[in-house]
Amino acid sequence: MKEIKLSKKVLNKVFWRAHMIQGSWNYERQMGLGYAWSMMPVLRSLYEEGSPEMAEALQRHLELFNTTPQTATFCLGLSSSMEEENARSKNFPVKSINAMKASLMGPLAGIGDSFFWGTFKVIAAGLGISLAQKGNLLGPILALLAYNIPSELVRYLGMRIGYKTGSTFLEKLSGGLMDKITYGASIVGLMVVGAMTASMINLKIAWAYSPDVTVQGILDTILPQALPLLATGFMYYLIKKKVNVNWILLGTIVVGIIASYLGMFTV
Amino acid sequence: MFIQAVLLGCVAILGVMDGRWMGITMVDRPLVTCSLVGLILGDLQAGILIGASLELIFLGNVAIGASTPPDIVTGSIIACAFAILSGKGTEAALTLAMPIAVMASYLGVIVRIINAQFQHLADGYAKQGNSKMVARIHVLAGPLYMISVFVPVFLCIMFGSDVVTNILNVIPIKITDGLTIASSLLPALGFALLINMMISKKLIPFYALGFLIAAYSGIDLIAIALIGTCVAFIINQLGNNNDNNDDHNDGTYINENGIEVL
Repeated sequence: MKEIKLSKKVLNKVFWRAHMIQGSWNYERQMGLGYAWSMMPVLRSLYEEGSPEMAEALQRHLELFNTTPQTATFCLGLSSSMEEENARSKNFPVKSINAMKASLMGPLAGIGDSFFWGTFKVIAAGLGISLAQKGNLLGPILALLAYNIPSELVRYLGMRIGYKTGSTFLEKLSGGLMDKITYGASIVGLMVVGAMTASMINLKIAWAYSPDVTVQGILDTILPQALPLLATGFMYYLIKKKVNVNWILLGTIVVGIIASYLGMFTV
Repeated sequence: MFIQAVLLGCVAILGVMDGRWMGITMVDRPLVTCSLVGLILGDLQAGILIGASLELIFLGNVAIGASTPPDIVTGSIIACAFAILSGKGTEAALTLAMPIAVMASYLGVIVRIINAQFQHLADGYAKQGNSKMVARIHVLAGPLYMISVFVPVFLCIMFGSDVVTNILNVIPIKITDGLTIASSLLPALGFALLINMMISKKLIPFYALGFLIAAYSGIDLIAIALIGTCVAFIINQLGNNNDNNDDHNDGTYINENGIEVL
């Protein structure tokens, strides 16, 4: 019996390949082909090209898969260690590999989406916008840094943690840690979105009783930036009522044109 | 114009491949692509400004799961280029971006349907244990995405510039003003979509907190993000304290007189 062990080099290759996991995204199996593509270095160092084992492994990883790209590496790391185990022992329950993938992709997407779509992207974009609005080139640069540093960190650590401590880390996650992380990320994300509501919609009511007594002036003494808050609240209400986003979009344009003819707002 | 059209097409390729081959780095966002468009068309400043405005509109535009949202890459690159070329600036970009993005998204849908056939092809090679061909097919799907954005961007810039400028000149001012109003309202839709993604009833106060701090003090976003992080940790610690107390009690309970009771 020769010792079967995946080298660090092979695992690093999987990490780099994981950047391309969405390369052939399709409606039928989503990231399926991309997952097999990412696992390739592992499969090649464990199974021989053209062998039935390789065929089985390839088919296994072509199955439907979808999650946040940045957190997919956690699954890839875990799959790598399971494939390694499978190559070592004949009695390994092969089906458990795909069962693990199927059970993990939902929670990983949940945590990944709230982090990367809900928090980091919003913060990065917000920072970038606030600088770029002054014509500052640092806007886009800072946005890229603010997003990519945590993004690459998670991608890399996901691979390491997934491979090394896969199952134990999972138990920790299901033991409430994951809820705490998503909860925390949502708090930061929502506070930033709240702040953006207050600072990034510049719409004022143009109507006035006299130059000194404007509707906007009165509104400001009650609650500054009440108009953006109302607009956001109303849109949120429509989304909750399951109104199609495209209709909301169209409605907004119609409202804009009507308001323009009535001279309601100054931008 | 030919060279510029090719270069803008390349920016579109960079943008669309961001999610495909680069693992999502935000290079596809208007903030970045429009700056590049500005650079190529010789007005970096305008590119950055337009990028900021379009980023705000498309902020809630997220691709979650299987949905195909408006194609922000094609939409913002073409809109930004027309805005700079026609000399009409941000307002023109705001007018054009959303309709172009919605139309362009159908090309993305077609690519994702074709890709399913690639997947079937890969299935065949997988049965033979041929990892080389499976890998090749995955990479081959990439150029489809590239074509789906390069062609519309190139054609629009090459041949559409005069047409669009003429159209923009014909639209009554009241209408373009209305579109500008609509575009300054659209970020609200983006915010609403983000809130919808993150919120549960318990979390509403945090949105309100962020809003109130910013509305009354006007401090910038990074400060709010840092305060938010502190708040998240504080909330977590409060939660932990409760947990610890539960652990410590371990089934016993110390009453007010310090007497341990079961």
